[in-house]
Amino acid sequence: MENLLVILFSVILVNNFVLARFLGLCPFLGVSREFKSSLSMGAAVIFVMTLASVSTWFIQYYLLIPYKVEFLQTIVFILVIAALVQFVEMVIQKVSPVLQKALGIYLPLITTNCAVLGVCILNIREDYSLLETIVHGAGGGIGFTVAILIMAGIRERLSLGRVPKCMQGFPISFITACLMALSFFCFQGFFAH
Amino acid sequence: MAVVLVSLIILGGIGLLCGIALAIASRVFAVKLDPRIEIIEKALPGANCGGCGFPSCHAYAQNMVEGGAEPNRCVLCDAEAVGKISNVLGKAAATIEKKIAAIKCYGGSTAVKSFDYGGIPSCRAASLYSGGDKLCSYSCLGFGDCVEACPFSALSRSGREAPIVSRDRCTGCGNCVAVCPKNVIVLIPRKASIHIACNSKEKGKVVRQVCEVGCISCNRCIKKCPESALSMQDNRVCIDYSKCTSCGLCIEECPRKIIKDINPREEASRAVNQ
Repeated sequence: MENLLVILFSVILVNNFVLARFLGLCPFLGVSREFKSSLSMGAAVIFVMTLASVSTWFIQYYLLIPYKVEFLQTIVFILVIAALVQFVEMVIQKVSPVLQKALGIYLPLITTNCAVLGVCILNIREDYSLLETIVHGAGGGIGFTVAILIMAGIRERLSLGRVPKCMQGFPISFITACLMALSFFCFQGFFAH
Repeated sequence: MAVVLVSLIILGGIGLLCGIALAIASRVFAVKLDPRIEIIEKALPGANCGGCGFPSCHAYAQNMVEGGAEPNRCVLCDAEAVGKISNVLGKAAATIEKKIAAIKCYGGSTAVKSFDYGGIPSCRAASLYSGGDKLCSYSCLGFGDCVEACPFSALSRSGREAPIVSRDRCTGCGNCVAVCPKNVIVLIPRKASIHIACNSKEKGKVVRQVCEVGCISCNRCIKKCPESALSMQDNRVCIDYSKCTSCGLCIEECPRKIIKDINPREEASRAVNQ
């Protein structure tokens, strides 16, 4: 239990996918203009990361390792994640139009993101059990959501402020992201004994 | 060799399985969309301006088919497009009245200021500081929030003067009306030519002190109007466009020159008639 909590909090705060590992920066900067859309994006990432973690864990331990083709990991993972997310999107469209409206366009956007692939490969590299994999996947998504929500809050404020012309748009966003990463750096060593 | 074969089988197998599964899923989970939505969406302009009250043209099309929204809410559609949409919906063709945005304040830089504002250059931000830096609390603040909000670039401004509405570009979508913290912008019928450019509800004496181009409630225009289209409400001249004949007598009568002709083409035709 303690182990799971440590995994959860370390992936949210210490090894945050965006701010410490620098994965998934594309949606982090692209969709963080408004608070509302970044919340939807975050929800989609939590969903896809958990789903991808579980499915790739099974692929790794019941297909790739028994047949000794671990070198296919990257391509097989991408294939499986992409197909699975497509499938889930179809099911959601049929079953729940409300959920489709909330997650709809963000699901295919995040499918082939490096953060999603990253979480799957890290699960294998760290030798996580299935339960640990689920926690790590969901935690990764929560960490992304936290980061993108903070970013969206700051950017909404910045959009009103007087930013020098040469810094408007992406330059100021990059600097904001950099300062956020620095502040998250303080969590480093939080769980070390 | 065996490794190559195994990896081929595994990768190919997964690809094939996923492909088949997705093909089946697309059949099983197919959602039937009303084909009318697509036809209507094509007839709509696709500007996603939000003037109809829905977030996008697609949402409006969907609501017309499923929710029973009226087909004449689009501010960009001409009569032909509305007729086409009504046809698809099987409704009687609805009439449309084109509108245009008009700014009810020409105070601009001449309006007397109460303090020097040095904060964020935005009307909404400035109005948070005791209603802005102008003594007249009904005036245009001139930071151009409406200019930024306009999806058709129909508004332009220079300095802190009141923005100018371009008749060619304005579609009457109302985005500027929604964003203005002072409620200085109104939507008036596009055909109208008389526009009363003062928003103040103060009495004449107060207006005189804070603004050179404010309505002083002298009632001269109301007395002059032959159609009794003008009336005084809350110390503000109001116009009933259903009665107004654009004769222009009020424009000449106004001592403060706040009644404007905003439709010069109408003026030209009036001169011919006289």
